[in-house]
Amino acid sequence: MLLLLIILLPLLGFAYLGLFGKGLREPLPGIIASTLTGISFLLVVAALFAGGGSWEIKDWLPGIPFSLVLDHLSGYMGLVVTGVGFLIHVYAIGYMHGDEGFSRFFAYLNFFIAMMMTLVLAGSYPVMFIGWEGVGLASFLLIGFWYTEKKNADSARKAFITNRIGDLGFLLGMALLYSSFGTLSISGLREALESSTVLPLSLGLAGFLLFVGAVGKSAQVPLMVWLPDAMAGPTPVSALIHAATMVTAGVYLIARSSFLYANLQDVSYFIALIGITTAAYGALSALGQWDIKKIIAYSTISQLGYMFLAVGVGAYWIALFHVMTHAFYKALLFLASGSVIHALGGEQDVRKMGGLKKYLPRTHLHGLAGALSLAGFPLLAGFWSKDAIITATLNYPFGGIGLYVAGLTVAFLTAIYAMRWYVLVFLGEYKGDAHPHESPSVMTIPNDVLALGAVFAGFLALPKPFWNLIEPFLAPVLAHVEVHEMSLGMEWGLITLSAVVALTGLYLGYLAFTRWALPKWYLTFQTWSENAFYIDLVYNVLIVNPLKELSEIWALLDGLLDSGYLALAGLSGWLGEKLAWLQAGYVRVYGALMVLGLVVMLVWGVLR
Amino acid sequence: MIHVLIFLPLLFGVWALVAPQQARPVGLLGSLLTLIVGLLTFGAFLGGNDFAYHVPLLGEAGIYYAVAWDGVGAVLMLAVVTATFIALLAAHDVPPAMVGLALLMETGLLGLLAAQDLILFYVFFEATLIPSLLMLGLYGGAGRVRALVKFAIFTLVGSLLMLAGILAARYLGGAPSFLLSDLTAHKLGGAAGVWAFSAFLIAFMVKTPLFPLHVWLPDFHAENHPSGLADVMGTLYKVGLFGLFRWALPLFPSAFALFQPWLLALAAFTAIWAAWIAYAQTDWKRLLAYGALSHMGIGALGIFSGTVAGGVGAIFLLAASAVYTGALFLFAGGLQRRFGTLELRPTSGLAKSAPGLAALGLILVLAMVGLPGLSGFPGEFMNLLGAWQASPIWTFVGFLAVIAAAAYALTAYQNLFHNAPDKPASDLSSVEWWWGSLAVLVILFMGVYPKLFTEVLVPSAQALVGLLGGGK
Amino acid sequence: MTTLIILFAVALLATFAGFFAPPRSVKIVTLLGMLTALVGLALTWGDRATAFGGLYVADAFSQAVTLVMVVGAILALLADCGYFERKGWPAFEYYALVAFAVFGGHVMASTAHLGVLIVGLEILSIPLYALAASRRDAAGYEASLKYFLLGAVAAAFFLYGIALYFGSTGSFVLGATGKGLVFNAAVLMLMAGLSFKTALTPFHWWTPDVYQGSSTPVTLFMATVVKAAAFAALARVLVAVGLTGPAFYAFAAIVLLTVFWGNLTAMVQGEAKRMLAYSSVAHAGYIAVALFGPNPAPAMGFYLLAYALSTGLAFAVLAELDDGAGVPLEKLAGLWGRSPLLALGWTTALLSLAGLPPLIGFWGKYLVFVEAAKNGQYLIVALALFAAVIAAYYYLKLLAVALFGKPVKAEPVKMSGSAPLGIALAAALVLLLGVLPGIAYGWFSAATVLIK
Repeated sequence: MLLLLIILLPLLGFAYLGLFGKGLREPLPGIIASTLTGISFLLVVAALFAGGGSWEIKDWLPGIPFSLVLDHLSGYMGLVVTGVGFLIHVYAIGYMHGDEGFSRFFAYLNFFIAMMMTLVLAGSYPVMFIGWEGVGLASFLLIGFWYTEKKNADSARKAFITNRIGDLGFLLGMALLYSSFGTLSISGLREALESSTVLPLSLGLAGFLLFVGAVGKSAQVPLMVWLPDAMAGPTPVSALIHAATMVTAGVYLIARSSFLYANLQDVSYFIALIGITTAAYGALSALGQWDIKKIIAYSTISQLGYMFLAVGVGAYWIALFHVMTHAFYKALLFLASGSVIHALGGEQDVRKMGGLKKYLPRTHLHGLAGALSLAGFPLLAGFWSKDAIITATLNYPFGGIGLYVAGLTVAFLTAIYAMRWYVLVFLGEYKGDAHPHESPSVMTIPNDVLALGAVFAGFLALPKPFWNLIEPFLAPVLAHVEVHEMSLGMEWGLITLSAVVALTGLYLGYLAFTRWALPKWYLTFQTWSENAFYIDLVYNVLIVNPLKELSEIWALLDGLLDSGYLALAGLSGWLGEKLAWLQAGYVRVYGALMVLGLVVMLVWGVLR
Repeated sequence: MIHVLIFLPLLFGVWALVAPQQARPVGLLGSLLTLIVGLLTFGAFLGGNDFAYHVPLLGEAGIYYAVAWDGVGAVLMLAVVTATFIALLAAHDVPPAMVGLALLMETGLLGLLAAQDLILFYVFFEATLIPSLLMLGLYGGAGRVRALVKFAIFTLVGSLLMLAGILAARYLGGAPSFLLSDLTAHKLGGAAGVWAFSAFLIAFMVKTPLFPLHVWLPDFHAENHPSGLADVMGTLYKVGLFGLFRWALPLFPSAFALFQPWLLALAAFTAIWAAWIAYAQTDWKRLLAYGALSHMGIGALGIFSGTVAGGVGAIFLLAASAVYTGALFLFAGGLQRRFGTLELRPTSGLAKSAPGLAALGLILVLAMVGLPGLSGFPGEFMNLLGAWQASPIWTFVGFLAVIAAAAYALTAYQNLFHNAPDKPASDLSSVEWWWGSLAVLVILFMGVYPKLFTEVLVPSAQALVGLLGGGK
Repeated sequence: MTTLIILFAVALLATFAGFFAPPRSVKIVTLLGMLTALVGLALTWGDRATAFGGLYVADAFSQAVTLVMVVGAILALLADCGYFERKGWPAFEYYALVAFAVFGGHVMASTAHLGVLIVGLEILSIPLYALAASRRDAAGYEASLKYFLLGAVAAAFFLYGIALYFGSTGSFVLGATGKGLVFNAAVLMLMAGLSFKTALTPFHWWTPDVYQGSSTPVTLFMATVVKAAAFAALARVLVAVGLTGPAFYAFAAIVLLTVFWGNLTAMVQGEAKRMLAYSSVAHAGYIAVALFGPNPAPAMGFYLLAYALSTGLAFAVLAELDDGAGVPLEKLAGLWGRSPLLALGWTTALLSLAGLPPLIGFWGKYLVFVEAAKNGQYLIVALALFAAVIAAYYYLKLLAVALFGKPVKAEPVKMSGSAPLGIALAAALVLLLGVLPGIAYGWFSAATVLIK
């Protein structure tokens, strides 16, 4: 019941604010929503200390229970969701100040938390799917929060539809698992898998289909196109949903299903490939963006790619470690950006920023901490988790040296674009015409907390010989994989190498974007990168538009079918006309026809 | 009580017809009482009472007035009484006779759900056509006669052929009566079974509807009275899936086994074809018609899978869609009232001036999209699980509609409610508030706690699927 | 015997009363007589009586058919009133002719002797030739003459059939055994002769022209009474000789031709009476389907009653709309607004004719199809049902015009006299017996087509 409460509280907030929020005065809706999320956080903590728990309705659907489970994995993820969620709620009280949809915004945010916690606490795939689609809806609502702009509404729809493609994979994966094992309960499946010696051949397909779901939700290649557009939503949304929590649901799904993927070498390798491809694509695209949020959005795609690289090679705990550190520094980066946007009255173009270090000292520190953590500056949170991923490509079962080199290269790019973001926003001269002012403390205090996390969270899991709290914590709920042991020297050598790479990247980035005149080839690259390599265009031309055109054509064909039936009806009418023509009105004709009829009968019936 | 339930609406329907000035209160009272009796019946059914009753109608000919509730019938019965009440609540400005006709239809629908005798089923099935035709003909739009003739001819082609099939099922099969139990004990196989099954199939494919016998549907909805009352009743009248599941498949399992691969393909094709076309529509009712058609394709996948999960899913989907599709038609009726047109985009940014309407619309649209937690999901999901066991490929093809649904539904929704505000309109009226929240409650309940319904559907589906002989 | 006497007495009474009483009184006398006949039927229901050395056999089947005829006659009498009053035709002969025709029909239905059969046939037919001209205009005379001339041809077929029958079996009584070429020819010729009166294709040619040309109550009478009597005779002949061999194929061809021909041509008509005339051709085909079954009498009786009530109702409505020049479809337009009772009657009648439950027409169709199905004639059943779809189209067209069409002139229809009573009664029966078909079926279930 306690578990249900974790979900119900924010849901209650959603219902209350949705129905009656309009009558509440600012900032009451924000306070209500934040409090409920905060309580949920405390409940997760309490439940963890109580040793977890579970709750279920048997046969919610025939053979499928509605089950919630709080174990170390869901507890860990739940802490990140409600914890970061709480901070962002608080931040939003300041950020959304004066917006006419203030209470609606918090209603949606609470709805998101409820759905995300459903996803996290799910003990069976269908329940996870409820949360999965629920957060998709929340994302739709929040991206399109300022719906009067066509661009925002379109982005919201794009996100939802793209996610649906992945969801279809998830659905079909469930169907396949159900038909093979007769259950969709995660623990049930785990037992079934562990007890059966022969694995069904279809298992690989099931793993692949579930992964398709993850690709959609976590914006991996090729379904990554919705995430940059999702920045149309208010910045706290970008921080909460499109950086820290929802988009990592795919990683969570794979980690939850690690018992499945640990047996699927090919699929795992495929996941790793998709992961590293996405990481590279995101990093390259981030380099050319001019929108302060889009840079971070592409960076998110790239970082998610790292997480998939990790789960792909079998390093499930490392992926979750990165989920947490990323939640801290990416939420921080977004909120710092939000702070900047807030300060500049809505300006998002980094070319009209610069020099904000002077005007926004606290936000500058937040930005710096976030950017350095992202870049993998030694000893910061991002450094430890990312390094763990890159190293894991060498010693975890499904990795390889190629992945290692690629991972390291992307880390280098990461450092460059992180520095570029920092330089363009905070260094140099201010190029805009607004009057920047520091944000209120309701916004800066949450950022302080996040900054602490971005700097120190990495110390929860250090390489040997130091302490590692996360791996043993998660080990009981993740699949056991054989890790190739590395010598300490080797390991620390690699760590040093990645530190050097990061520092080099940062330094080069600093030089490039403060001192150097950029060469011609870079400007060409810049254009490609700015347009994210024209993937959207290609999709529109090759897929979206033809689909739309076809719908018109099919509708036309459907009309033709209709006309076909009409013609059939016309045919019988025509036949009727012809027959009626025989009814000429002359008795002699009638008499003749009668005699003819009789003669035919007699000839055919009697004389044949 | 089963007779009370079936004939109560008839009584009130006649009352509403003879006292047109009181049609509104009579209609509300009648449908409310029916709803209450329906709920009580369902409660008693959960307690194990199936209300079976049995008396010869044309004794020597083996025709009985035999009625009873089984799980499938009871769940759909709830959908009928609920949707009818919501529709009559919503349709406050319809011509009085329409109220009476709607109640007459309700009796027909309840009767055909309860009938345990094939001829009795047929009688109710056909009789329901009459008020439906009258509603369309008397109160429809400019193209109503064309739509009416198309609707009637398609229905009659199917059902008259089915009559031949019915006779064959009994007299060739050698059953002593038309009771379901007798007919299934004397199944007709062989070539005759194939022919008779084809006749049933055509009848129910018209009424599901499935490609290529669906062309009456868009016109039917587009031309009906704009209030949406007739559309709701018409939606309830789409009992093809029920007919297939309860009658056609159990009577002719061998013929079904022969056709099954083709039928699955047809169902999948209908699902994706209709959803795709829905995107190109420019009129709310046509869009909803194609959307509903696509859902019926999904449901047919479940039925044709010949699995318990698929059967449960299809019937659940049928019941759920009666409510949410019905509510969407009423919602479209509300738009017609506001803007005098059903075109998809009479204005834009409507959420600004009518946030309540926007919220209602969103919930209904999302139920149609099959969002978990709303009533569209459990049925769709069970269909998926069942259909996959029969044919993964066709399941995949059919469920592509899930993506398409998001596209057409959200596009239509956003075109109206989002983007820059244009002409404003009034928000929910009190009548809309009442029926809207009732519909939303039902949709939420069915989505959050489907167990109540699936629990009674499963035994009944197991029995029916058991008659197919596969025993999956 | 009772029924025979009552009907004959009514006919005589109507004839003589006409000399000194006004037509209105004659009508009432005839109506009362018909009601007496109903009572007589009820009292002797199920009794088997023979007279005249077996020439006259009143059995359950003849009673069933007579019931239908009396009901049809009552409807015709009720429907005539306003029509004739409006037209100002003094028409006491009308009632006498009606009564004689019913008497003839009863004779026809109650004998297995071919000689008596043709006597009955002529007693039925000759009044009809006169009735067909009751409009006393060119169209009426043309109708009458056509009916008479073609009727003569058919009578010739029939007589020639009798001669051959006697030649091959040595008997005038149905049920005599015979085979061979001459016998087959005899059967086919008898079949052809009776197919004329029942209006089966290709002997139906008179139907549309005569139905359209006669005054509407007469049309009603023809569609109900004549059809019933003729089918009684046809059933006796065909059951007696057995539908096998050439007779089977010939009759199957006739039936299928009839249902399609009737329905297809009805579809393209522009005048309501003519459309219903073609529809009556089609319905003759459906009734004939019963003859393919093992015991056609109950189904046939039921169908005849259902058809008499439904089509009688339809014609009764048309009688109110017909000002002597027929009822083109436009005249029906907006009937709902002009007279709800007529519209209701019209709707009930057409839906019943189309065979939609819960109206009596559905059960009629159902029973005849079951009959054929019992003998495994599924091809005939399926094809006949398919033709019914075409029928549904034009019934709907007629219905749609009346209910949903825009009226040319919106003035209400004036009804007078007994017409509303007749319409309400018939509509109520169509619905009631449709909901509880067991009642009507009970009347016919004992009937069998006995030969002796």
